[in-house]
Amino acid sequence: MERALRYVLFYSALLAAWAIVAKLKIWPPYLFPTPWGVGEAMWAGFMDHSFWIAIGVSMKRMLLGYGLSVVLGMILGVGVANNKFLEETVGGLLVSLQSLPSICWLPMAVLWFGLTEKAILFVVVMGSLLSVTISMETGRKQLPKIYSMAGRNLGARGFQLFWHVTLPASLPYIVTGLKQGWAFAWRSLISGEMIFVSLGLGQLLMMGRDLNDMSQVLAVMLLIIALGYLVDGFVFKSIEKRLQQKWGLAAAS
Amino acid sequence: MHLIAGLHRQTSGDVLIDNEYVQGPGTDRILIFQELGLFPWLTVGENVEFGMRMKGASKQERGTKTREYLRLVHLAKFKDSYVHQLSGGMRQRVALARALATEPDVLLMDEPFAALDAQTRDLLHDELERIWTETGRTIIFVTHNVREAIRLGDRVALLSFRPGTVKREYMIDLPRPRHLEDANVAGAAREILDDLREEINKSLEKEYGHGARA
Repeated sequence: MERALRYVLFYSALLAAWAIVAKLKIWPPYLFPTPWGVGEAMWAGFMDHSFWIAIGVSMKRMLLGYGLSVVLGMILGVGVANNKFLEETVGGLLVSLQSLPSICWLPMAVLWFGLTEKAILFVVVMGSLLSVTISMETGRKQLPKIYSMAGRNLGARGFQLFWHVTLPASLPYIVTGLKQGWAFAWRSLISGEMIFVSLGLGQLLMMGRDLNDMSQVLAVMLLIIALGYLVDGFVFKSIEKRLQQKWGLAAAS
Repeated sequence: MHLIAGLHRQTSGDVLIDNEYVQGPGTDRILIFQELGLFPWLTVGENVEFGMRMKGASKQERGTKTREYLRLVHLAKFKDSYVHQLSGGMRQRVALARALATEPDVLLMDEPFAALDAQTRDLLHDELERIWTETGRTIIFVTHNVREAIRLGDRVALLSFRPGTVKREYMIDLPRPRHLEDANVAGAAREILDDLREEINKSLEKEYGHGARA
């Protein structure tokens, strides 16, 4: 309870400081909006459905792009982990590619796919694919051999073995990578949407800039933070929690 | 054990079961690993039904058999627990139930009770003997404990020091139930231990250059 109190205190202090600075009118309101101005922009955005639509569009892209990169990343990761040749060649390439900010894929994507959904999906996938692949690869390597031996012993073969044994057994090792992949995908998506116009939260943010509407800019920023935080706090936390319950604390943490 | 289970390929010779060559793993031969290899992401019940699920048995059949085998190892109440919540002896019994549930012709046990305390091990000896009587399965049991071998076995094969071949076989026809502390168990153990000591001396000579005194 005391923790909740500290949270409330901290955030009300932050809000109060913001309100006071805004009230002093050191900067004009279109550069430094008031908290209630941002609140109004938020309210208005939801009331005219533009925020809802943007959230829907962005989330759909996230689910598609992230889902795709998880599937691809797992296939790639397992392949790299199981094959010495691939590990030395593709494995090294993956690590070096990770130093490329994902938004750098956008020009290429636009040239290939034009200003389409495919281009933005491409950027999202490239943003998260590498971290999923790398975590899958390391997870696969850390995985004790006993599980796949026991699985084969009990009659699991091929894809069955992967689906029922290898994948669940490596979950505690890869959940961190999956989470990181989500965060990367989220960043890539918003930056992608900011650069090329087509609905979505990123575009809403740029629209705020074009209209010189700082309140809307801040409202959308808050929305982006909140969404990212919600997914992390609810989806991934609950996966981690479930893993801990099943495996016992030691293995999953 | 791994060769019989088909998890590794032999470098020479053949592995035959009932005149059939062993080619890779099969659910007619189930190995209980020393470290068990229970799946921590599954409940006890799901672990037990794993083999049946891989075979594509119906949900109903799986449910009935899982209950049956969990009852057999006295773990019916723990069907929905996770492996990490169980004690060592209980995990051992889950592994046994999981192996039995695939209804193998041969059950392979690789030093299964080595890591358990003496009381739990005694208890599991009784249970294994009872299950063996009830199910009539062939069990191949590897152990370093000669008395344990005599306590449980009909046939005891003594393996030699490298290269590991069968040095001698003993038929044990003592009346059941036997107990580790029985005089006739100890007597039979004496005979095997004398042969075993020879092997141990050989291994010591190889490793340290001189034999240990018996």
